[in-house]
Amino acid sequence: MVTSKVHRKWFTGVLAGLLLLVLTLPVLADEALKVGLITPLTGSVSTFGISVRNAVVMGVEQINEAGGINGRPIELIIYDDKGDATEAANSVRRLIDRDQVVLVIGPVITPCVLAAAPIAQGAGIPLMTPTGTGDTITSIGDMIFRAAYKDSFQGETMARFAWEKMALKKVAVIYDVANDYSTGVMNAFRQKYQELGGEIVSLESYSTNDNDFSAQLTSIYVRKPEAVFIPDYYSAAGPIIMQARQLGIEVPLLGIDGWDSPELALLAGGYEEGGYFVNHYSTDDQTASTQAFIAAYEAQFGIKPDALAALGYDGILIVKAALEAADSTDPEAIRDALGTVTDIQGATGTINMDPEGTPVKSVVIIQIQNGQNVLVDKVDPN
Amino acid sequence: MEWYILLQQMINGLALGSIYSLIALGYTMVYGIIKLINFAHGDIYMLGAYFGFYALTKGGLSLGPALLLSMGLAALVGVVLERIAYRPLRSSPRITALITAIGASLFIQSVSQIGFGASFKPFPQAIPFQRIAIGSVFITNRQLIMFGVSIFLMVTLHLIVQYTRIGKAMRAVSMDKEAAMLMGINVDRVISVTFALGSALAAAGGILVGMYYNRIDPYMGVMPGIKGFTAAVLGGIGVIPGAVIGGFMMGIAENLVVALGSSTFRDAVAFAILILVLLLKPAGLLGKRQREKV
Repeated sequence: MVTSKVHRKWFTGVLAGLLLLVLTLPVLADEALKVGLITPLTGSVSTFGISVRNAVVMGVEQINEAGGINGRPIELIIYDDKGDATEAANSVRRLIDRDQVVLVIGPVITPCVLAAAPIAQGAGIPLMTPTGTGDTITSIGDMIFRAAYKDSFQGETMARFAWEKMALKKVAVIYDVANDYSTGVMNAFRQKYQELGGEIVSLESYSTNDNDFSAQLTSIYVRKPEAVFIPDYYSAAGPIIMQARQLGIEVPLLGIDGWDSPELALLAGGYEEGGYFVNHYSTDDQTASTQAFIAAYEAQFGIKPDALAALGYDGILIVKAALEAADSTDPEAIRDALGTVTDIQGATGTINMDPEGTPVKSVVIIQIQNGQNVLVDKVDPN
Repeated sequence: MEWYILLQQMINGLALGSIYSLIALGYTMVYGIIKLINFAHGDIYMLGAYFGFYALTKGGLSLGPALLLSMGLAALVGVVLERIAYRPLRSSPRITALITAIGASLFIQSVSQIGFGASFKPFPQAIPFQRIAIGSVFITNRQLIMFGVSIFLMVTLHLIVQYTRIGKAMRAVSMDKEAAMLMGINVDRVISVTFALGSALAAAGGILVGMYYNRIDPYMGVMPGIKGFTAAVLGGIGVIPGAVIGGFMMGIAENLVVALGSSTFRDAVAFAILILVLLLKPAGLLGKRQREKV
């Protein structure tokens, strides 16, 4: 019995060794570059994730058709994080430990990025979130980059727009106290708006997955603001917009990039009409690279791309430029390239990366008119 | 704060409270009869909302028939749940059934996530929206429907329990199961009917809430389930009028906390009430203190 056990152990060892050899073979053979993508394909922000997935897959297909990165095709490994921070952390671990990717694209929403980025930073693998806007994301470490603007920038842009362009003197704000994204934009907006001379007449909060906003909206209603700012994702902004209008709040409603979803109109029941929100790009923008992206996306998926799709596409373009410039799988070479690539003609305009991690580019203000997103203002970075 | 704001918040609270009452009734009836906290009750409420969603969108029904259909289907789910998950454990220790109930709850949530999708679904607007002004306070027609339908269902339940044969049997079983059995009451059937009634009420609540808030998702039953349970405990678990009163009190308390303080405490207030009731009046507002049967 003893001999047979030893025998079996020896046999298992050889088998494991062989298996290991087989597994490492593709890497030795200078094959595909493995890139991971973490995006919410289900859950409360699923339209964001599906847009990003579509755009990144389209970008990878275009790159591979054109001959790949210096001759090597990109192999994309996609995980669904459901918009959940724990799932995002698990996914990034799996991508790094098991799939051994050279770079991670995603996650999509700020709370997930804040959970996943420290793990990538700790493992020394570059992470590029196409859409994460939370201010603190890029300060997690030198391996973390994004293709979107920062929340403070969009909060300040909306404050400026409300004060200067709309001439609003008093505004109410309702935000998600349990979400870094919503709270971050609210703080930036409040600070800038008060600095400009505006008054926040009512500051109300709720928690993620609350359904009932009638108490907060009643408090806002009685303070008679000239506009209500709702910095949150469409899944919460939709019901808030509807309940606000139904309670008799008839003033303009202001929002942020989280509003950009085909689901907003369904959840807001048509009451979103006339609302303004800050966004990363507009389909009205006549820049050649923007229009080329819109045409390609529409041809492939049959719908106009939202800002999340545009950012996803920019994310893969930045990654492509960086991988080409680095011409190696060394994480530090990729990191240095990500922070220095410039003049990328992306879906949201010309992108110049910054070693700090956030690209320098313009933002737009959109108004919902007859159910369409119409460009009303474009603000350049300063 | 001016009086009309307070009144407005009370109206909002009553609308929400009517839903908590509907859920609390299911908890209380099941507890009254088999001493089981049916933790899957909140998920039946969620299923009701989804049944209504599909009846309105895919089935093209109007609100009334959709409500009845959804209540019927939910009643069926309740009966089946009791038959396969709880009946085999009826003579087991109570903790076994309780853990099974938690398992059933997670099971329904996960299956729903697969079947219906995990995303929020916008609920169809079955009736056009109207706002009615009474002086300086507003009532929406949806709040009125929510309140009206809930009250109607509660009165119907009261009539069933007090004045029908099966209601009499339910009360008998709740008083003493063994004695009821000796009197020739079919206890299994009475328990099935109890689950059916409770589930139908929860389903009605689910549809009304779906319409009121315009969005449903597979986890929408978790919080209202816990709050409905708290409402049942507050009113005195096992006591039907207690569940109604408890539900309305919870709804109003929640709205006042958000209006006067901070929404951060919205869910905390429910649990604070639960703890206070258990400490000060464990039998609930209308419950009679019972001596433990030996």
